[in-house]
Amino acid sequence: MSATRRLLIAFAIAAALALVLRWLTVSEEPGVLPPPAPTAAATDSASAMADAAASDAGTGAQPPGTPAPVLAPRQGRLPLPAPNASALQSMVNLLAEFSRPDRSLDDLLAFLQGTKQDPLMAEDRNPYSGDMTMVRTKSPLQNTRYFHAQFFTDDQGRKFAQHISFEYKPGPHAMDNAIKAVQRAFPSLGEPSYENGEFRQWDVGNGYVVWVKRLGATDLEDNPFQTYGKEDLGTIRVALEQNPHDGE
Amino acid sequence: MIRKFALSALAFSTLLIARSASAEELKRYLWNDEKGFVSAESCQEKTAVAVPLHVSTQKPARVIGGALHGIAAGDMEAYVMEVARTVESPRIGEPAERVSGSFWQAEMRGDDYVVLECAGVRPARAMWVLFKVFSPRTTLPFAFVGVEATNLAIFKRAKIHSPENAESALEERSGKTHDFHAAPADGASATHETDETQAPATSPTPRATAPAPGPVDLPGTGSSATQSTSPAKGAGQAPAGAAEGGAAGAAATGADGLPSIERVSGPLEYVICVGEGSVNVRDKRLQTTLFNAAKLEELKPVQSWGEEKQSKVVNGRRYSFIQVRFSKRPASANTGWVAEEFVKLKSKCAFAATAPSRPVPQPLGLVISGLGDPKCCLFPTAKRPTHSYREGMRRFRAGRDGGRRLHAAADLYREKSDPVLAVAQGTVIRGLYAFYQGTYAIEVRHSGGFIVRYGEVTGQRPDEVGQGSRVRAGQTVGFVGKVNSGCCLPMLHFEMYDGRGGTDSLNSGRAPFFRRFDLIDPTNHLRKWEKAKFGESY
Repeated sequence: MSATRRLLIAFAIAAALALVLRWLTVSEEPGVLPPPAPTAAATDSASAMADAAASDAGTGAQPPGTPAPVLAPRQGRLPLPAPNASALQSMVNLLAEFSRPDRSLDDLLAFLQGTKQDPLMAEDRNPYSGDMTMVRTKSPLQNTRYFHAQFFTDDQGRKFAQHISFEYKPGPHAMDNAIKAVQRAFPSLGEPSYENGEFRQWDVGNGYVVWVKRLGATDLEDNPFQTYGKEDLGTIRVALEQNPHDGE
Repeated sequence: MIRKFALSALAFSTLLIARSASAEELKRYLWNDEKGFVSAESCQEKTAVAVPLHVSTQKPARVIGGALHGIAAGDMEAYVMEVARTVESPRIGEPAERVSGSFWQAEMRGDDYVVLECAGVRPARAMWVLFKVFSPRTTLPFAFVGVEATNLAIFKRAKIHSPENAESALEERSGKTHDFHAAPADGASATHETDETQAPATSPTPRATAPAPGPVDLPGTGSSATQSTSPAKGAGQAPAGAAEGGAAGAAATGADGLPSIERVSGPLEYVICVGEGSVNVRDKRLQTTLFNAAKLEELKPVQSWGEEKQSKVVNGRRYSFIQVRFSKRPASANTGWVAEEFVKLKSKCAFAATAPSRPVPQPLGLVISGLGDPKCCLFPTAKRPTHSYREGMRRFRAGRDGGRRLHAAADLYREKSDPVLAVAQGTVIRGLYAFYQGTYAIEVRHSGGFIVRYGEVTGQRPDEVGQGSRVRAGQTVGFVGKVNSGCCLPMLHFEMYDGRGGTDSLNSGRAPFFRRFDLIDPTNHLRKWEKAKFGESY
């Protein structure tokens, strides 16, 4: 056999191995199928949302630190995830939807009702700094909890999301799973604007950032809305929020 | 003769006066299994929400101390102990009274137990539960005695009575009546939702709700039919096996067939919602009462991965239980399961006090008319910022996002958890809310109408500072936080508005600040306050 032929065969084997490895490491919560590869005829709604986001925003990696292109507005109600869809991906996709302009509080409530998460809405009104609406859920999706959203009113009288977050069950691959879910939901995300072992944040345009944090001991203290025990160390929090400023 | 008569009369009068001494003047003792009654003169009296003494509801009923390991038990306040007639060390008090056959009732102050803490008395650091001791012959109390969980011989073979039965027994012996239900002015300490009591809060009787009967007529302990419902929900599935009972979250169905959304006003603060008394907090199996939660005690529901509720039949009625945590209790004893119907948002609890905050006492010279007042105001950190807030990215109007927007605050770098101080007297118009990267913000409207958003603070809420609270100048309204990214040192993100923005939110607004139009540059104000406080300014 000639050297060229041997080289070609070796290359083909290596490429095949790489593909297999990539398929195997698309990790998910136990017992849940990974979402199908995006196709034009995708039937998985969660993936369909991610696909549509990719077509809106274009594809390709962004230079480091460049805010991702704004996801285009999308009309209509939020699609509900399929019954076997990953809860993590479904919730991250929800966050992605609210980085688009023109997503409303009603859209959120309809989604939470449709997924049977039993939302609770708390109106906080004062005549000096306007209205804030908080949304929590009483029946979170499996392996998620402590959904929390805050909506403020803009100068046009419309409610906009200032903060939406939820938590994901701790585990050895939980942080990786969450990061991958964000990368799927925001296909043109680019490099993170901040990154360390326990935290990663990306600018997603429209004045929003999305971040993933593995909660440590100090993070579990003094939360005004949620309560934790020692067993909650390593819980993953994923958040979409407005960026009040960048630090140094 | 006359002198003898006078002396006798004097002695008798003294005796009468001593015997008719008010309860508060009764001598206090501690019970020790080896030494008997010892003086409690050196002890400090305190109150406690829960105590480590209980009455087991398994027959024969008895007083038990310490942790309850799988033992169903009731609370001391619901019982009266009749000390056995054979108990040793039979006399205490002045004049000495027989203890055997006396009736002992836990002393309560409102809904709390009265306890003694005694330095230099063994066992060290014990909690002595205070009991008022009644004579079986006269019904008068003649002493207070503190009893501790590891010295319970005094209650060995004691009869455990309900207050009604104790009244009957005492009347039978002495021919006199005593009311063991009588409680302090704000109502009796009935325990709700337990196998020891009747239904809570809705009783029409003006008297305190009767605590449970003792062993003679204990009701059934209730069915042990404990069901766990842990719905395994996928993204699109409805929850399975929803627990019964529980008022919170019960929803009518909307026009589209989906449950209506529960809507509330005000902050998301949960409390134990009962009219009087307390609520059992149980272990995970719902078998054992770990402690009692007081009415209006603050708590947070615990959410599990996939909601979990349990149900249990108590006195023929099924309750749904949820796990909760009481943040003001020590970590070792702050978690348990409570009947869901007694956990409500404070704004939805009919028993929550709605009295407005009282005016906060104001130090002289710090009542201001507004930002322009020469006396205005105080610097918002206790110590001077470590870096200048007039330079770099910390300054107001510093460019962000490649210059597409401007920084709307001055960032005051301090150490994490340093106190954040109100710059002037004011009212909290918005309590803690999520702000950025794991930090929070609080909004205060100060005298004269200007508003400050104290941002990037921790989630720790200082006492007496919540939505609607009045604060004085210099009062701690938060603590310096640090954002998740670690990009920056801990800081207070300080935003100011002159108050003309009306009902618009502070986040409404367009470029370059994306804030409300009445945002103002705080720099010169901060410099003035800094110089006044620290003698120098950046």
